[in-house]
This record gives sequence, structure tokens and C-alpha cells, in this order.
Amino acid sequence: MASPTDRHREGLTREEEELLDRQIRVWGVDTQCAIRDSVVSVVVLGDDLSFLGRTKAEIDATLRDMNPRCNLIVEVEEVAEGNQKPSERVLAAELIKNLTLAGIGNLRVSLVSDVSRLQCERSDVAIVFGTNLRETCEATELVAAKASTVLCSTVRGGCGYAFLRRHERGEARAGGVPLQTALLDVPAEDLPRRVNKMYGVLRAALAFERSEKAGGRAPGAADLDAVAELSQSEISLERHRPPLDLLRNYLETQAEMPAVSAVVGGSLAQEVIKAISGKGELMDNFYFFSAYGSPDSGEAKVELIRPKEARAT
Amino acid sequence: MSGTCSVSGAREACLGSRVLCVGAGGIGCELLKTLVLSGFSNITVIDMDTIEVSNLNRQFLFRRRHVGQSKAKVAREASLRINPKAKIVAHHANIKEDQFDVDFFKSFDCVLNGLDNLEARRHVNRMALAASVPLVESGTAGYRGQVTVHIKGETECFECQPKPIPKKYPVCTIRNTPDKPIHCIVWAKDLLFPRLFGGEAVGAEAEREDEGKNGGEDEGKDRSDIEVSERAEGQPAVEYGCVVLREVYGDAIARLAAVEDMWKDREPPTPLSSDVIAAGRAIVQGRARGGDDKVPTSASLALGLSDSHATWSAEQSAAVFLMAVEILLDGHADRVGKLGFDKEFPLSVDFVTAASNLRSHCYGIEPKSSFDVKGMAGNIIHAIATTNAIISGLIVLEAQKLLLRGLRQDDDGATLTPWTTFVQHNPTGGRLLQRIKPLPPNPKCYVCSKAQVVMEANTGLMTLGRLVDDVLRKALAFAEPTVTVGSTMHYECGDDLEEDERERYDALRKRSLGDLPGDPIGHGSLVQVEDFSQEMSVELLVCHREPREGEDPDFFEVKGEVKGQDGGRGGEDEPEGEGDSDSDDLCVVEEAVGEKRKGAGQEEPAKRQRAS
Ligand SMILES: [Zn+2]
Repeated sequence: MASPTDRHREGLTREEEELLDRQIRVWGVDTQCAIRDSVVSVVVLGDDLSFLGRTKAEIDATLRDMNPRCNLIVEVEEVAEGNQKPSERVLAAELIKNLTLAGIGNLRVSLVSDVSRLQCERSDVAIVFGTNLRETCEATELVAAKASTVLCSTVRGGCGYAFLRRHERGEARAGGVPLQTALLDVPAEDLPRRVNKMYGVLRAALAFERSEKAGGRAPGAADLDAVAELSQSEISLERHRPPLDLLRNYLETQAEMPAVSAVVGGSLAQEVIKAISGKGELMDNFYFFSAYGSPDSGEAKVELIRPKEARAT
Repeated sequence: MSGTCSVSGAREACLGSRVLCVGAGGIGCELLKTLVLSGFSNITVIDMDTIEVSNLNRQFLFRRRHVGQSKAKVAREASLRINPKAKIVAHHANIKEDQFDVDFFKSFDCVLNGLDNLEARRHVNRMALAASVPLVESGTAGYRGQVTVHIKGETECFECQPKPIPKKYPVCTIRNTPDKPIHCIVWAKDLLFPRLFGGEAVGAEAEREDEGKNGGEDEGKDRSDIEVSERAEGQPAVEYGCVVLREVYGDAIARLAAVEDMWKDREPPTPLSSDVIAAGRAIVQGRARGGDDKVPTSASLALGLSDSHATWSAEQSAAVFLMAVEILLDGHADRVGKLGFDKEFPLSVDFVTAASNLRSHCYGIEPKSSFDVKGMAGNIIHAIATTNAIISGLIVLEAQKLLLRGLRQDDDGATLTPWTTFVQHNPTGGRLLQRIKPLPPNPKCYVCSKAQVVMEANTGLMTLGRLVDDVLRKALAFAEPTVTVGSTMHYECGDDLEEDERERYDALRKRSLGDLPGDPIGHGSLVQVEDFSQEMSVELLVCHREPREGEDPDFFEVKGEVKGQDGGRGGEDEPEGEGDSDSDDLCVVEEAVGEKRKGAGQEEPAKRQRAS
């Protein structure tokens, strides 16, 4: 597909210049044009976009009001009674809000409940949000086939992460690995010495979801012991294992802590803009942030985590 | 105990608490949203600004239809739509007003700042200290930002650390020997624009050379040394503009260039040629006129120069100069004599762009686009929504910890440690958020540690008025200072003064410190300064000395003061609440516009240093 750089571009109108003045002074006219010409796809495995709205009509109206110049498509899959996901997707709403304000020209927002029915269109950047890690891995791989840059991200309780994967024409870039590989197939000796404790939480949670006992569901507060056990068996070195408090915070609720969603959603939007503009180094490949429960809570860090053999290719 | 640091614990703490949100701008909008989503249900928001178009790219609670309305009120309504159950009180007012006294601050569990200027930040710092309410302070500039927690007696206060001093330029560089575009822009904005269209001297960026030392102000700055004829009766504005061009860029530059001493180490400037002026006039006269009689809003647009990123030729600059002079003098005749530079007033941006570029042309300095000139002349702080969103999240996380600490004093100390967090851009080691432990109070801080302040001045020359206005109000940020020496009260202020008291103090203001009745102020005097509105007092030790060579005779130097406060970058004439920026004084470095980030040098985390 055409990259943002070889697409035909026009300058900004006076109106756009006036409206976007303060951010043009941050990233320049060329980046602003690239943002306007870009195609971004947001896939939310859930059915409530928090402060942006719940229904297709609400979400559509809010976003059009915020940026009438955007070529916007909102798709909301009807969810069968009793099948609704219970919580507001604040993180997804944060990212969509940030991108809309930035002036993304072509935005597709899809709220889906069933990954297998996910329809993907071509885009420059696609972002997937899901609470269930297994589903998120699956959706990210589906979306990856049609986007140059794919990110996925979740906030659960006070714990957040984002994961990035770059593609070229549907092929993973050299060294890029799927989320599942990055979580389950990295031997201890290939992990950064002091990997962020959130990594261990995610690894144990995904191992739980894939276990027979779980039957695919994401772990909850009642599964603390089982997940803690997996964090011992899955992660061989003590220094890579998550503290119990952090595990507890992750498992306590599927609801997001909005303050953490604001932090992660802001960082994530920054990455999308980097990917679009080609300026700046993209986070490669994990971003972690937790509010409480771990000695590294409160700092956000980018870490490269993948099997050594992937690096060679 | 894990209960205190859980999601439900944090939410519980929010529910019953009362928070004060100062500012409903870039950070404020994001903050209000995150607060109501987090379960805060008792919020008071104060902002004196109204909504502008250039806010809409990041202040997402506002829409185009709200332009001109109160930020606080519109933000309240939008936040209530997110959480209709929240109780939000909005004040469209200045936080420094009397109604927001210490008792008002005491009615909150926590104060959250999303302010855009140093003066208000210092005031809120003092009020929060006086009320013993913890303060979460924040600021952003471009991709970078910072959140800090100030707890009385436990961590440093906002004024414990030196603040960066707004950039000032030596006045002789501005007047005679510019060598950078900014020198010409400051000249055009602070000297020529007020000379032609303004009343009093407006700007304060061009300062006396000794400014850095005494922190004083530029009162009495003589702007009339730009020699320009007055407009003759019936003289067409464009003709008058040509006269100005000849006198200011021709004759004056030629006179300067003839001062040989000045050009020993540098190239002398070249006077503007009459050909350029003639070509400019021809462009103005040859322009296509619109059918209506409406006064054009922009001189450059009226001349078809629509690309704000292009740099104009000297001839085009001369044309814009003449066109702007014509529109301002004829189309805004009623305002001439009162006009000041305003970044949102396109004619003033056009004029300053043209006038500065013509000067740059004479001095061989590169020209700048009107977009760049607007940013430089208007001190526009770059701002994006994403940084504000991150900062708002961090503010709420710190607020939640503060509230949990209040609920369970001795529980979970480690988890509830407050952090100072820096939002970084392209950081080393991938640390997008870098946190550090807040420093303890600085024992040398006169605000929170009652440290003595030493002032050096010429007590035979300095008047009580200058002491009150420039030292106490501007440099030390008192709002309503009372001055006492021994048993003599020399000065007090406030609305409740009797008429005769007011007259007495007004008369005393004109006396020099050494000439005050009762206990005059001289070398070694201890001056007690009290401010009841801020519940703050300071002991000022006065050291008399004569001015050093080259120093302003009416100098003063304040030691023990935390440097950097000087009444704001734009001086006292700056319109209150330049609500565009999310911070105009943050300890972060701005980035170049459109800078290629890849491969750019890694930035160090904003380093903090204590005043020694
Ligand atoms: Zn202090």
C-alpha cells in the first residue's frame, strides 16, 4: 500500500493552521499533513467507549463534533443480551480522542465482541484493544496482515502495557515477533536483566488463559493462586517474576483505572504519530506501566523482548 | 496491606474527597475528564480565561461553538456529561481574588494545578502552604512535562527551586547591533510597533543591560529614541509609511553605520535602498482591491501572501509593512495610541514580521516566516493533547496516593510515596516516564522555611514605592505586603484602608527608604514583611551599597530569593491569562519545530538543581 510519504499531499488550509497552530509548532507542517493523510484503524474487543459514547450514534456524533474534517467510520457490532463486556474501555477512548484531536484524516473505529468475525481494511496503523490476552494476540495477528504498523494495548486495574509490531506488505519485519511469541517463547537468558515486572504478569496471565482449566477465559481475582503458580513455573528466574501485589492488582478487576488509561493512551497516541510521520524511534516492542504493586511502578519503560533467534533473522 | 493500593481502594478514596482544580486549559480539560472517570465526585474548578480557537486542538471539552465562553463553565458542563453524578463547582475568576482565601483552600483535601503562569503558581503554592493542603503541581511544553507533589514540611514547595529566568536581551543589541532574527523581532514588537501605534512602552523583553543582576523592571524605558516624523495632516497612510521606512531603515541605519567604533568587530548594517521602498509601494498600489469596503483583517492576505510558512522578499516585506500601516492607521484609527502586539491580532503579526524582516535585511540576518515570527513574538508555547493526557493521569495517581495516605496514616508507606515524574521524549534507556523522589523542603527557601532574605540596594535612592512594587510584589510575589520596621508601620494595603491612611501611604511611597519617618530603612535594617492574604511573612535584611560601575543607579539585588521571578515575560502590560500555553515557565527545553527526532541527540532528563 501507499506509504504516507508517497501519497499526494496538499498543504494545510488557513483554518487548519489556525486550529492546529500549537501542535504544528511541535511537530511541523509535514507531520501535520502526514497525520491528515493517514489511515488509522482502531479495533476494540468490547462494547463501551466510555466518555466517547456507548452506541454507534453516540460515538460517531462525539468524534465528528471533535473533528468534522475526519473521514470517519464507526462500526459497532450488535452484542447479544447477556454477552456484553462489563467495563468501559477508557484506554481505547483515550487513544481515539488523542488521534482525533491530532487531526487523523481517515479513522475507522470497530467495536467487536467476536474476534473471528473481525473484518480488516488496509491501514497505515492499526491498534487493537482487548482485555483477554489470547483474543488480543489473535486479533493483532489478523489486523497485522493489513497494516504497516500494529499496536495492541490494554489497561487492567492499575496495570498497562502496549506492544508494537511492524509489517511490510503483510510480512513481519525482520526481528518482529507476534505478541504470543514475545510473551511465551522467550527463554530466561534472552530477557533483559531487569525486565519490567509487568512482563511476568502478562506471561503468567496468558499461560493461564491457554491452560485447560481456564478454557480461554481471562483470569480474575479468584484465580490469584493459579496465576501466581504459573508465574513460578513459566518464569525460571526469580528476578523476572512479578511481586504478588502486582499480580493482585492485575487480577482484581477487569475495569480500567482511568488515570492509568490516560497515561498509556497518551503514550500510545504518540507512537501512532511517530509511525505515521516516520519521525522518532518507535517503541520496540513493549511498553509497560503500572500504578501500584511493584518496585518499578510509576515509571514507564520501553523494552525489547523476543527470542534471540528472531533477532538473527 | 494491599487493600490501600488497589483499584477499589483508590476509587474509594476519590469518592469522599474534595479537590480544587486550578485551571481548565490544556491540562485542566484532561484532568477534569480523568477525575470524573476516576470517581472524584466533589470538584471545584477555577479559570479566568475564555475559550480561543487555538485551544481546540487539545482542550477536548471545548468546541468551536464555545469560543469566547468561560473555560471553567464549559468544562464543568462537559465533565458533567461524562459523569452526571459528580458535583462540580465552576468559577470564572482569577485564583488570586480575595474570595479564594486561606479558608477556601482549607476546604479541600488536595489542590491540583493545571496553570499556565508562574505568578499564579507561586500564589497557589503559598495558599496551599498556609492552608496545609497538599498541592500537585504540573506543567507541559511540547512532548515534555512534569508532575510534582508539594506537601508542607515533608517535600519541597514550588518555590524551593530556582525557576528559569525568561529570556531577555541587552537593549543595545536590540537597538543597535542585532545579530539574530529574535533581536529584530523584539525591536519591531517592543520598540517600533508601540512607537507607531501604541501608547506607553509595551514590551519588556528588551531590557537594560544590567537587568540580569538586579531583577528590576524597565520603568522609564525610553522608547522615543526611534526618530520618526509624525504623520502630516491629510497625508495618505501609505505615504506616511514610506516616510517611516526612509527614516527608520534608511537614515537611522546610515547614521548608525557611520559610528565607526561600533563596527570594529562586526559588519555595519546597510540602509534600506529606496528601490525596495518604491517596489513595496508599487505592490500595495497594484493590488487587486475587493469589491466591499471592509477593513482587511490581514495585510499579507490582502496582498496575496497566503503561505504563512514562506519568507518574504525585502520588497514583499516593504509592501506588507506599508499595507499594515495603512490598515492600522486608517481602519483602526480609534485604537491607534492604545494598540499592543497581540499574537491573535493578524495585523500586528504582519507588521512585526515585515518590520523585523526589513531590519534583518539591513543587518544581513536571515528572514523569518510570519508563522515563526508569531511564535517568537507571542512567546507561544508548543502544546499537544497527548502530553497533557499523560500528565493528567499522573496528577490523578498522585492525588489518589495523597488521599489514601490521609485515610490510612501508617499503612503502606512505601506504596504511597509521592513521586516527581518527568514525561520525556526519546529518552535514553526507553524511560518515557522517569520518576524521582521529591526533595525535602529547602532550608534556604523564604516561602516554606522562613529563611531570611537579603536585599542590596541604594537606600538613598530606592523609594518605598519601588520596594513595594518591584521587590516585594514582583520579585518576592507578595500579593498584599505590609512593611514594618521596629515599631513603625511604613506601608500596608488592602481595600479596607481609611482615606487618610491611603493618602499617607501614597505620600510615603515617593520617599526614599533612608528618608522614611520613624524608623528609616538603611544599612542593616531588618524589615518585617507580612501578607495576611497569603498568611506569609518574611524578614528582609537590607544592605546599603552604592551602584557598581555600569549598574543602574536604582539597582536592587535580592539574595535568598529563589531566582527567576520577574513579573512575567511580557512585563506588566501582558494581558492576564495568556491562556494558550499550558505552561510558560516549566523547567523543560522546547524542541525545534518539526525537528527530526531520529538520530537527534538524546535529551537528558530535566535536571534539577538546588540554588546554592
Ligand atoms: Zn519552599
